[in-house]
Amino acid sequence: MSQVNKNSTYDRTVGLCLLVFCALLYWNTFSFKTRLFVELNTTFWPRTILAILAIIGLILVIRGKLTDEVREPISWKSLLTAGVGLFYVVLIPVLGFIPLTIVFLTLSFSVIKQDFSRQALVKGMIIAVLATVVIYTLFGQVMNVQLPGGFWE
Amino acid sequence: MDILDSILGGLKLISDPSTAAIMVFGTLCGIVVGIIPGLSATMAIALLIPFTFTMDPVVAMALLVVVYVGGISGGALTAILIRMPGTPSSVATVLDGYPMTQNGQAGKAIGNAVVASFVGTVVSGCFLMAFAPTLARFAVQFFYSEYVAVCLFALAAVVSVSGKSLLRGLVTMTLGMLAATFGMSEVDGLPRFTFGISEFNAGFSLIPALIGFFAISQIMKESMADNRDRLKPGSMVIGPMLPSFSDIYSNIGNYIRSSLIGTLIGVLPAMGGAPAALISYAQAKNASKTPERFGKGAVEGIIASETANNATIGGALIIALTLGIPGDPATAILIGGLMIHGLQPGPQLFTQTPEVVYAIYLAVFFGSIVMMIAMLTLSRYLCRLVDLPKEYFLPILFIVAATGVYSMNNRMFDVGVMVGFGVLGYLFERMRYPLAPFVLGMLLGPIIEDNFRRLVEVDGHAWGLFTRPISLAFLIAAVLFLAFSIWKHQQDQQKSRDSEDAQLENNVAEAEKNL
Repeated sequence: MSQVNKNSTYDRTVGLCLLVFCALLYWNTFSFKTRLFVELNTTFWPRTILAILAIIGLILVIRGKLTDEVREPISWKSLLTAGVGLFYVVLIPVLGFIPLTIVFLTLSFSVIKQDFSRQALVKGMIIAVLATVVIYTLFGQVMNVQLPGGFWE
Repeated sequence: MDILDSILGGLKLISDPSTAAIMVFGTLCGIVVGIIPGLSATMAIALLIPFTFTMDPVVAMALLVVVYVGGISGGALTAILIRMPGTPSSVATVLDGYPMTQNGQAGKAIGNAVVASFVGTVVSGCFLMAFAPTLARFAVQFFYSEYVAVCLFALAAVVSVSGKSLLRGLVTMTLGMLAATFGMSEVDGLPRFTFGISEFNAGFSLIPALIGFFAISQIMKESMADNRDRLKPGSMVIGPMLPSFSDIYSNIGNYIRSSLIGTLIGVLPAMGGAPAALISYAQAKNASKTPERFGKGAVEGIIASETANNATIGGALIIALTLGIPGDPATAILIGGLMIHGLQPGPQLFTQTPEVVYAIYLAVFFGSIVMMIAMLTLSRYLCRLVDLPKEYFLPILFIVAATGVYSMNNRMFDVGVMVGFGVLGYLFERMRYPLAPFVLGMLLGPIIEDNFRRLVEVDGHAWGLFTRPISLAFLIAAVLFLAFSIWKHQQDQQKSRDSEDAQLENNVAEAEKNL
């Protein structure tokens, strides 16, 4: 029952978020540089879209629930996966592609499998090293991509 | 003679041994990704795009097209064997494919599905070759107002078919259009929504955003999915796979009807393979002399579904190549792939680089032949891919995607964009907000802005939208599309309310009787 109640209001929450989001971005459009003597300047299109989005947001707030479909639960573990991915993006210029990728893959294997035994970590590390070497060779050597070397480069 | 030269030119490029080898590899990659539940043809194309940066545009596009063909076809295998469609396109194949497996006819089901996939792809490929150049010649007459109107029509169409709620489709479409306004404005070269951060000047690049939307969000979803209850194909008896002559002969009408349905639905923006397969399945059931067999293991059902979902490929490519409007998310990424190689989809593609267009045509046929041979000979082994340990391949896919995106411009910002859009795509999907309108909004928004502002700049007003016949026709079609979908939506709601009322009355009557 609580699931149904929660679902009956989430479109309204989306609507409210949209209204706040539109207001903030609309305010930001006043900082755009514009050209003189043009029919439609730089702000025209973003403001039009924001106005449409705000109207839709308002309708969502008023109607509250659009369909009887049950929303699938948002898994915090999945969001954590993305968070770890973002952490990888932030750290890679510092630690470099090869060491960070090996660590990232080894830990990810264990987290998804939910097995932190020594055997699983060793097996994971072997696969991580192999995968990193293959990806590095493919991009760094075959495609000549300058992959981040980290602070020790 | 020009056409013949272009075909021969395309054939020459495609028949180069290294190109042919790349295409065989691409088709197999597509099949493998199609087979693994949770991974889709769209994801396969998105992940392979970075590998095409250093390739010749012809080879690159041929590779991406064969991956598309392989990806759509591969999904049938798991749909038949373990009741789990490898891609959404094969959702209708489950209905009769799995009962056939239970009856010990898995081989017959797979064989017919493979031949149907081949027929669907080839027939729609013929339509593509016949109609794309004509549509391109027609599109040469397009001016600013026509481009605005066509894009508005495409957006109206995509919103109309976006799930159960029109408003949710509108939300994601408008957000897609908004995301495209970040960074430098193409018309006057001035920055927008940069928040003083220099990385924002270039805006959100299309490919990192699409890879995030379709690959990262899927990785996030799959990484925590519980697949312990999934059926295992390992010990199943598959049996002979070549379909009998009588199966093919008695379904000629089914093949033709399903190919037409698939191609037509493929032309409509963002419809894709799944609705085509379901509509075609329903039509086949209506036309059948034995409709009661449907859902219990009817070969006609598998043929209808697989022919139609593969036929969407040619249909989607027709409008993608001639107008730059994607028929589904996979063709949106193909358009992104064209742009990376400096090629702009549209009529000029046919006049300036016809060899690319013909290479794409031929890749459709080549991919379908390789797919048929590979699936008829290797299905027994390919189905074991379902057992691949996802705890290993998902993180590796993330690294491949991140490295691929980084290799585009050597910018970590792009990788951040990819992860950010991945989270957004994941949240949208969980909350039942459709993804396809977002992609179309992001792709078509800049085209609308660019052409609308130039139209007003040149004419001093926007009346051209309503005074030029082609433009007016598209605008009327857009309005009709929206009006029809609103009417249909209300009808559906009324029907569900009526059935709820009837249910309630029945319950009350039953309760009274019991008393």
